[in-house]
Amino acid sequence: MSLYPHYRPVNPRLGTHYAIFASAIAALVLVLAMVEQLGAPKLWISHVMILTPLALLLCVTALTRTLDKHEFMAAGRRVPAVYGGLSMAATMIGGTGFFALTGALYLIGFDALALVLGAAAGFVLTAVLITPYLRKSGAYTLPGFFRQRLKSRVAGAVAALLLVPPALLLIAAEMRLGGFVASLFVSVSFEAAIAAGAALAIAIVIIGGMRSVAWTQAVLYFLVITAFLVPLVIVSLKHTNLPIPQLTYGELLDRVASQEIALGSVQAGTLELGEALPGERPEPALKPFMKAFGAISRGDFLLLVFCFMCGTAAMPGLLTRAGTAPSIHESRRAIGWGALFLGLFLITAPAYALFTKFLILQEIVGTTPSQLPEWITGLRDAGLADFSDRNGDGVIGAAEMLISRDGVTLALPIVAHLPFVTLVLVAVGGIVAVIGATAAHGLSIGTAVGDDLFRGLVFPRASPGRQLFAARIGAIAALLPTAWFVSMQDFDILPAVAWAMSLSAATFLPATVLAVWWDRLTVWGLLAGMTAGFATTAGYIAFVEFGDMMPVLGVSSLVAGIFGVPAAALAAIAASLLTPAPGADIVALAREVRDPSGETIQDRAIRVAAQAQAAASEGGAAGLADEGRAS
Amino acid sequence: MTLDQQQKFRHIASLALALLVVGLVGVFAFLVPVFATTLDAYSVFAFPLGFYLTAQGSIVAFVFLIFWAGGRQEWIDRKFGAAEER
Repeated sequence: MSLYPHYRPVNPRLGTHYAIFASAIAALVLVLAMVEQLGAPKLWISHVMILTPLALLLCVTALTRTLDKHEFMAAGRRVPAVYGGLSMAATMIGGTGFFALTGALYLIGFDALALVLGAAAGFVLTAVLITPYLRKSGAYTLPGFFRQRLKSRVAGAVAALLLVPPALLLIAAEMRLGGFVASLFVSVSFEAAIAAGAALAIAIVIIGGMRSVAWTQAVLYFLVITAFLVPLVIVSLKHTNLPIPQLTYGELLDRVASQEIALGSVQAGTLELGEALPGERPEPALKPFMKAFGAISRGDFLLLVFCFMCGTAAMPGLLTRAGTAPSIHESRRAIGWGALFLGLFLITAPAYALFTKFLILQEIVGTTPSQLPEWITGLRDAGLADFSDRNGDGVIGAAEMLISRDGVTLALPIVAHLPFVTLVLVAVGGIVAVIGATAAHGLSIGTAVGDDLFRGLVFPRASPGRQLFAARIGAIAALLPTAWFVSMQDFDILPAVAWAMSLSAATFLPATVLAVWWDRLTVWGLLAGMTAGFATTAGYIAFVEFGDMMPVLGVSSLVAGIFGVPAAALAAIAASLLTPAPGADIVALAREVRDPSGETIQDRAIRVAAQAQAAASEGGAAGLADEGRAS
Repeated sequence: MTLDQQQKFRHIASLALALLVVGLVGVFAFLVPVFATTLDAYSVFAFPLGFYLTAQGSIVAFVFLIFWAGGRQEWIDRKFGAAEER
């Protein structure tokens, strides 16, 4: 008898619970909007608006607390497809999508679509090549999948170590954005905001592990997308009479183009990728929105799509979500829903950027520097924008309108003269996106430490409680020093994300795809593939960025994955063919991973272990079964 | 068909499906943006076609592709005797 049913039933009242949380958020916004009309102080509104959703997230966390390993590592495999999709989309959007992507779209228009395309395409690759097979294997983590598939504890441990650098880069990027936005709206310093955000993410991870992360993210996706859509729909309704901004901004494209000409925004030509991607400091939007390949060259655009696509497809923080679905069928659907929810955000982001640009240009074209609208002082005080007549010719030109990339999302409610509540709603959407993504990436490090390093390598017979303890310590050890680093060090987040994508693409994509699809893969092949991919990418980034190596063929270090991915694939194939063929048991495992019938490989291992133990010592079988269940 | 043959056919069919999907992703993620300026000569919903396909069309296509490929894969698994019991 199997310890688990093949299909795990889900909570029938899930929709009700979800609706309760969603309507609580909606009610909060409406009440605060009314309170604002009654004249409540802004500081008070922003505190309530930001702290209440965070408290709500803590509520969800408390409700999903767990001490069971199966719940901690895989949410009990009870997350239905739609909710799994919600939480995957929330991980992928994060603060970087919410602020940096929208800002990049504002500043370089069409060229920033490389990031949009890459993220969406990655979901398709992972859906057909990896996720359903990971679910069938039943491993809790990506390194755990390697350990199980090749019966090698070393392979799992190496993968767990290589998983850490890209996850840390993503965490650092998220935290920096979160600290920046939170310190604008809550009366705390940048450092204190980061510390608070890190504490919240740690709470989510250690209280309920994957269970809390999956369910809080399912709730916070609703807040993120509402925050993104509300100001945009209002603006769209005002200027195009239709509440579907994604479809209506087409008619504004021509008007924005003529505004751009009036302001003299002409890009001299394409730049090197590192300079073409907008940085953090306020800069002018010189490139016309619609001009394709005006800032990023055609080749760099394609490289960027490739690296983001492969990086998304192999991102360990996303791949572990496969394990939370009740069945293989559901895990396929979950990726589809994830792509749908992520896609809703991704097709809205260009509309958001364009409407913001339209509104700003509309008020600037034809005004003299003395008549600048009053919202500009607010933006300038917050350090988000700086419009002034620098060259003293009596008009504001495109080169004199500096706007900060990460401030564009916050600028829309301000330039559209929407109530203050809308602005804080946008901010809180971004802050919860940051917290969700931070927790997800922190958890992927924590589970790797607990399941793959602590149990997999060092203490194979550790009790489930000890493993969870190790996982929690691992997550804290990843998040706290990163928070300290972020509050000390200035860095730009978009390159950090690009490097993380390249690193995870090169380290894990060829290795995982070969592990699923190629029976001949050996342990040495896997190790060679992962280390070669990681070393090539990390080495290229380090030597070009921090050493004085000349970029090979002019390829920027931001797309180092273009060398790393082929290097990893070649190394894995060559090393596999040079070492003796894997034994029949390994080949049988490879075939089983691709066969959706029957129980998952991990469940079978647990069942066999439990039966052996029960047979060895009669009586006390129930207790032993419990122990086996959690291993 | 013997069990072994079934397994072999299933592997080939799944691999072919996966490669087809990866190829289609290549078309939408790489070919469409490359030819965006050419496609901009046409327009849809008041958008230039090249921009529209890059910013929205590809993403919508990706979502359909995932659900379609999931359904096809399950059809292959049923056909070759490896359907998941539910």
